[in-house]
Amino acid sequence: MALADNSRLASYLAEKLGGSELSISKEWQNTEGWSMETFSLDVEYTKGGNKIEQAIILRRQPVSGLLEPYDVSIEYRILSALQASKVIVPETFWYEADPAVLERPFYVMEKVPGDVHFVTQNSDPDYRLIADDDERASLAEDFIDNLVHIHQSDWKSLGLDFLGDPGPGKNSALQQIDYWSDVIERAGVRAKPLVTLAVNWLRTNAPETDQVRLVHGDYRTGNFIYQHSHITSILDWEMTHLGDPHEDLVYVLGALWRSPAPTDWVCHLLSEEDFLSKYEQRSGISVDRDKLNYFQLLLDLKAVGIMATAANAFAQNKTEDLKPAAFGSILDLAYAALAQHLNERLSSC
Amino acid sequence: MLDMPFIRIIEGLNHTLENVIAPEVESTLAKGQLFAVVEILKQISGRFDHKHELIVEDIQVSQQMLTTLIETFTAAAIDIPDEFQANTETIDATAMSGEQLRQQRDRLEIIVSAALDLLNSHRAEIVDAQKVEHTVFMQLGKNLFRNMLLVSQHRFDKISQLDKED
Repeated sequence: MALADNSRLASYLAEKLGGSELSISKEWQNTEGWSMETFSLDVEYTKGGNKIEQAIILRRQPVSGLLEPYDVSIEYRILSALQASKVIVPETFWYEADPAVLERPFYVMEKVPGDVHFVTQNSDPDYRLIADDDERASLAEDFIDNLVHIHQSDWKSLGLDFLGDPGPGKNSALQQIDYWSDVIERAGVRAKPLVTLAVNWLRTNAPETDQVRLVHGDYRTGNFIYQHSHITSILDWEMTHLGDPHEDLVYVLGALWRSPAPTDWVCHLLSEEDFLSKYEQRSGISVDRDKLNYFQLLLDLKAVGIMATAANAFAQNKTEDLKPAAFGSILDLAYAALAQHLNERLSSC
Repeated sequence: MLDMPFIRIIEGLNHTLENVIAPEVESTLAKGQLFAVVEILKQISGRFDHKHELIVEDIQVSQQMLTTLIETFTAAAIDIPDEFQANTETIDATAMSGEQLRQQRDRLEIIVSAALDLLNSHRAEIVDAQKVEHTVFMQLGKNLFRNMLLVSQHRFDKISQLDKED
């Protein structure tokens, strides 16, 4: 699907890149993502007398979808701020708010070379998402290091306090419950008794967070680019916020991105025990098992919110893209996960 | 989404098939077949409805939950809205259309949620509120499990077109 009239887009890009005689040699829409619209463009232009070939990524705000309401400028600001951190992220170029250019706001960044894993569930005990053990071990190290860098980043000095500091105490958890309750309300399923039970339990049992950290919010295999056995970029910062780092930890441990038994590796990379002990050792942050259990339930609530929003986007005729509809059609799986963990919490106290 | 009337779901699917997918299909044979699918879906859409027995089970479970909660409120001498009691009466499902049953189920879920919120706001006055919550949760359990079994194995990798050889 073409983004826009080729010559008009070429003129715009030439002006922004400070070049001339720009041509778009290749343009395609990436199909892996299910939320933001991502386009890859190979461009050639002249700058300062030199011929330049460059691959760029254009991330455009969708009309509607899984994580609405959308504001693509937030992801742009996060990625731009993280350039000054130890986290490996793509270089950002500019943000375009003017809908006259490509109908909706977008930003442009470098296209980092490499591949992205697509994680699917597989019950074959011999299945390996990453076939080479040395490569898997190397990626596991980078995976932990980058998560530690995210959680150790000084978000205030990076200028990320615009994300909203929940402050110490229970607010990290309570703000997330409020946020996702509102999302679920807008999606029209807040009055499901299961959701009400879960929200009330989470509010009653919110844990204290001693130090507010930057939380990626979608940290897993499938959301990084890798090349030559190393992670070359951490992607998908759409759900990033300030809060409790256990949110990211429990997300990494998620069942949807574990390798099948008997390995049961988290994110198809390493055992849960190795992941948590290495994370603790490198970050200096103690892992609290009770908090992991708590944030698992919050994560299940979040999944209900995302799937219900996707379903609602279809139901309300907000999008012609059927991906959100397909995602929303399995909402019962999100309810089932929420029910399973709510049962554990209600039975255990 | 799957709670919606099927006629509405099919309208949405057909809109995308006709306006987004068909213009991208180059083969005239494939395009013709695609319009045949659109036509068939359109013709059968008005004849579908949700399985009544599933909605009736949902209604019965909500009424069970509501009854448990009313008993709890009564024991703790907490005032409750009249609509709580009124919605525990057995309904004549045979006299209701699918649409009416769906509306009744949705209305009951809203009332049960309101009752759960009332319970939560009076936790201090209720002996072991969490045990009551667990009891009503267990009443829900059978239908949640049933719904989970209705979900087919998804093939999102196909939707993302990562298996380019296929």
